[in-house]
Amino acid sequence: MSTPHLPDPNVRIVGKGKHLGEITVRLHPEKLPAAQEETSRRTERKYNMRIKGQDVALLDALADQVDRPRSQIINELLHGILLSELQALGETDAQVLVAVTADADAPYDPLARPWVFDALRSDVAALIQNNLWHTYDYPLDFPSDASPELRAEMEAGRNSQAFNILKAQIEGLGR
Amino acid sequence: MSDGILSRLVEDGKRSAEEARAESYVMVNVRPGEKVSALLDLLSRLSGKSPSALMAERLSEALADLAMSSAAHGPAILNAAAKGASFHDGCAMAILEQRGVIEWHSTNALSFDGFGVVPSDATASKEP
Repeated sequence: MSTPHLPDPNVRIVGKGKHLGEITVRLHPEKLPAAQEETSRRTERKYNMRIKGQDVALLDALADQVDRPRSQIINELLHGILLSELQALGETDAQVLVAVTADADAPYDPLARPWVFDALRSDVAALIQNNLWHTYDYPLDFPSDASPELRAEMEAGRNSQAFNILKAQIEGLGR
Repeated sequence: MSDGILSRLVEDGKRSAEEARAESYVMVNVRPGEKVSALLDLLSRLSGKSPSALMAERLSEALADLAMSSAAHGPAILNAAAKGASFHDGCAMAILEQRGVIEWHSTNALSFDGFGVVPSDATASKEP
């Protein structure tokens, strides 16, 4: 029994010429980098936010004045609240830790990213390292007779207390 | 908090009280985008509270901050008051009053309590 002829998936007929006959194009996939697994874009999250009934009149009045939907005003309020929470941490390494952890779950659209971040991409990455993992990974000069307790204390001293607490909690989330 | 029986009882009680309080809330469906969602979800997981519970108490103050961020919002504040915005403790209008942005007056100082009252001809001060 003969094997049925299967069309070559890398060949496509693109036309027919009077003198050339059937015209085909062959793709050489080995010349292309291996396809990366498509990262599944997170479905845009939807939340049911509770707003105090007493605040709705002011919320709607402000939304009417700026001619924007109520939900968009709430989005801006949420952003402002979260930003102030982040800033309230005070310690830069703790702020960067939280921001980097959150960003890891946010598939940002590169087309919406400001050009300046594209231009300074490696510098921005280095800045994050300096504020976060550089201090975390920097080799410590332990005294030769340092006890385990002292070593642990020195390790913890690489970063702010806020960083250490948040790092432990984030690791506890089972990321 | 540990995951013991009593701890769970307390947590359930808190949740029930929170749900009871939620009766004075309205639910609004929002899609805040990936940036806000990412940090909101992280804080929610760290705190063990739902995103809505986490933000509910903060929204009034944020709304008051927004309202007083520009003199251009003055008409909106007055419109909200005219539509019956109330002055319950912690709500945005009460915060604006505390900050001196708005002041209530009533012709009948004895009956006016500032809670959901729509002033019509304001002439007398709320305070006797």
